Amino acid sequence: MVIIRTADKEKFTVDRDVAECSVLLKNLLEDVGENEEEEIPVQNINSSVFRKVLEWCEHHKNDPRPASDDSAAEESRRRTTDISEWDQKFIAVDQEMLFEIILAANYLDIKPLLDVGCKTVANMIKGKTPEEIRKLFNITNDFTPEEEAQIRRENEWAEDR
Amino acid sequence: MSKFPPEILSHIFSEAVPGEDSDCHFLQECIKIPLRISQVCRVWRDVAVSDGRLWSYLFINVNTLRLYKHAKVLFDIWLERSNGAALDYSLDFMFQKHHANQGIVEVAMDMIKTLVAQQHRWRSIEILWSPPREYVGNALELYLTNMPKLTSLDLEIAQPMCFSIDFSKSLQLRVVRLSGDIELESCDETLPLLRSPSTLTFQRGSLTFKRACLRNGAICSYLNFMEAAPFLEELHIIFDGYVELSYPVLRSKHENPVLVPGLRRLSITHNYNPIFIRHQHLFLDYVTLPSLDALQFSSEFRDDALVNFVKRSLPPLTYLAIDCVDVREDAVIESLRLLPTLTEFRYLCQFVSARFLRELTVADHTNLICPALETLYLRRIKTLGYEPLCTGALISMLESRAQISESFQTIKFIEGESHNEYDVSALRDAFERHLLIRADGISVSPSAETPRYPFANI
Repeated sequence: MVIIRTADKEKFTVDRDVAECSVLLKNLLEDVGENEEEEIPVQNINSSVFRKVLEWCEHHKNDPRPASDDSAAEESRRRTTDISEWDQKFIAVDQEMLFEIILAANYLDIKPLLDVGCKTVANMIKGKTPEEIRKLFNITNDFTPEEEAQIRRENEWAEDR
Repeated sequence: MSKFPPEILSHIFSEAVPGEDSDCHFLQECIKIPLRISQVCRVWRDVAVSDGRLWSYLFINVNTLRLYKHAKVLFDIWLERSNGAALDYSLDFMFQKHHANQGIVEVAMDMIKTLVAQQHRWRSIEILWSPPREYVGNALELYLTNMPKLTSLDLEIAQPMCFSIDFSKSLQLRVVRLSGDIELESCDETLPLLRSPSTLTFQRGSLTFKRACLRNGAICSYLNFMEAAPFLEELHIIFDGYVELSYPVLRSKHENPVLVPGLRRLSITHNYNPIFIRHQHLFLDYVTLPSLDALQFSSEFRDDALVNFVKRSLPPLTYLAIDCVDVREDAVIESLRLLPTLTEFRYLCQFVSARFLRELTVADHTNLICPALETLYLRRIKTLGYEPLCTGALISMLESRAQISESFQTIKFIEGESHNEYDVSALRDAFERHLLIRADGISVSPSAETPRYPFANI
């Protein structure tokens, strides 16, 4: 077991093989060695998000680990793997939590979880206009008039009539 | 979402755009996603425009493309923004007549040329090209020789466009479908087209060739090619040098010879000193060709190679040409016995014995070799063996054949020379009745017809 302390000071006692789903934690644990008393800090993640991430890691602890140095294989995996039913239910959370899970997966270096999060956001984008995307994610249109004009031209070129 | 660093945004965007296995087969759908992503806000635009992967997939179908004027503009934007990424592009220019005009045909041609210029970035490429004849311009030959990232290539090309392709740098190539005026050849004669079986594999049944010419590859590559090309009707194999073997693969092929049911014409030749080309005949050991109509074999000849091939395939051969220095006549005769449909036999070896001629002589109608034979070509009259025996055997063979078949009228010698050592007067009588002689010195053929050559000129 290992002890992990989140940004809001909450401590989690976690099976080592669950923690090692995270490449970051795996590397830290290798540095710490067998000293189970030592707390591992994860400074960018609060407890509510970390609990959710641990839920994912617990479910996927026996999955084969993706190779870290094969970009072609990673690209292929990302392109071809659909979101499993379990992951779909897992990621059915509010938008703020979804974004926090993605940031946590990125920080902890959990590639398959990052994939699930990014695919989910990507699916939310598909089929929407720029204005609909802005509204969905509360994004401000900050283009200059010149950029707006360029965008209008692109849309004219792509218009289907 | 504002907390997302560019790499996460980039990851999300790459998941949103269509991929190689996508069913997004309309330009409008393809272009909407990356364009829309790039139009949300400045941060998104910066990330999207600088991420080549978002622009590395494009499908253009000319018949669903109503933006003729802007197609090239969009195509150029995509290529520029793809920023060096490997390309998965499909250009479908199979024009329906009512969609075509001179302008769009020229734009389409320009797109193809632009894409060809980027061949070093090709990963999965489909180009379909068939414009209406009235808009076709001058012949255009395009060269594909530098496609190191290529995994899949689908070309279906109508004239006057033609491609000359060298796959020797495409070591990741897995799927090929080529149709049209496409020459598979190395630009550099020292580079083999099919270098080795491990560097080029075709998906079984993936090739739509009806006719192909392969040069200087490994025997396994040729076999692999034949397995992948179920529509193959004519195949020319030219050995330019050392014949590469791969014994483990060949052993497995020996147990299960490659069956090409539709192949009708096979030519195996060499452009090199045959002394240094020692294993071409092995090719016949690994194929079964039950529809073969014409076989041309020009190389060193192992005695049982043809016999075994004929026994296995039982092909309805009408044309057989054996051009080799040395061959055992027994093996040739044994093969001929299994070829009842043969009408033309070119036996271009160094020696023809009286026994061979007697085997072709009609003595017993129930055991007649090649009853449909119409024309026998020999290299030259000097190839005939002991003169008194051979002259008699030749005349007997001609006489007997003429009696059973009016169509057996010709024996031809390919190379002219003097024939003083033969009893020319005896031969001349027979020739006048039954032969057309192309050789100088005996007689001149009353017919100057072009010899039959069933193969296309490569």
